[in-house]
Amino acid sequence: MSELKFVITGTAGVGKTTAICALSDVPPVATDADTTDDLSIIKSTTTVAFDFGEVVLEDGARVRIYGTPGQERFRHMWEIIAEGALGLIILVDNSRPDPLDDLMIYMSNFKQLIEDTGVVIGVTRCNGSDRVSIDDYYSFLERRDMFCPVIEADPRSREDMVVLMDALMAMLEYA
Amino acid sequence: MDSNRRISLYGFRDTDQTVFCSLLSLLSFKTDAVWEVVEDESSDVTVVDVDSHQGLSLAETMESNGRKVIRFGQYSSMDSKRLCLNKPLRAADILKCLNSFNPVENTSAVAEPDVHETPQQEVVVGYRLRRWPCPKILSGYPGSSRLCALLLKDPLSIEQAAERSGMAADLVWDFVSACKQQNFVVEQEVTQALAETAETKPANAGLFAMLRSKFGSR
Repeated sequence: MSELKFVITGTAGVGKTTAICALSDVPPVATDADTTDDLSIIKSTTTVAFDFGEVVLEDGARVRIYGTPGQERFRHMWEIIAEGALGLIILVDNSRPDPLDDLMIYMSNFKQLIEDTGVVIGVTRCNGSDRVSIDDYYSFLERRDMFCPVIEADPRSREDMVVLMDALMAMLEYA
Repeated sequence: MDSNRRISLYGFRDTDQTVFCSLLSLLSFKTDAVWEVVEDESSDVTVVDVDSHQGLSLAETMESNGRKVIRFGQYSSMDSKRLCLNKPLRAADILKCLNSFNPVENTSAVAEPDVHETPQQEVVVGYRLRRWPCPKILSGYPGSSRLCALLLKDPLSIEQAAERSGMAADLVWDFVSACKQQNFVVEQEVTQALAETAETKPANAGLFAMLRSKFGSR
């Protein structure tokens, strides 16, 4: 039986590992290393291969939620992690200089997975950064003939992450 | 040709029973027969929740006694011998099951749904979501995420949205109205077939149902 998994991706420091922690039934398996570049300003370690958590279902089945490394120099891992996934969540840090450009990078790199399954976009750190609104994201996607849920989310909040997962499953089932 | 048929439900949770009765009422003008939900054992058809050992055992006993049974469960799968409904309930699946029973009494052959009939069409107001609604709206309508997924993709009439999402039409209307108040909805004309055929089941429906249950997001 193939592995049941979802994938969370997004820029370094956006909160992928935190999001997995919010959903997982077990402590996430992480492959972190000390940050050595500009990222060290915002976090002391970063994911270099992948990390994953598990959700154990009532029949004993385990669904894994993988986080990709955020930095583009580890992008060779993205394709490996995406193989056979049921769906994708892209987390976008709205406080970064160009979050829409960030989004496009991940939409392009995970194009095949998105076409084969589905995607939901979680926008983080919206507070105090009104430069790009949620409506701007929808307009951006619509101009590219894309449609998917764009939802404000805090990766630390299980409730918010459940909303993203629920939206993703609804899109996979009904859209 | 109309005829009266009786249907009973066994082992249903209250919410499933409410949804089933609501959908049955909604579908009343589309079924070949007039269906009434009864509580006694005189029913023509029994829908049994087979996700419990008791339910499964009852379904097997009834089937071996020649009773007409529709199995209702997380992993039910339709085959040539059994009629099944998957959780969550969907209007199209119920319609397909009910219309597979020949409305004429004492006829042993099972009627095939008439898929060749050209449905009548009408132009009605459709609704499309401009964006995913805020949690405040979603939380007021359990199961509305599937409605959002449908309406984010294409404009649908209230009836189409109800049928495809498995939600009652009045709930869909309330939900769309709530979204309209937030300016999340675009209205446009859609063509609606009066007797749409059943759609295929969503992939991974059983798995996602368990995940939602796990997350408490029903």
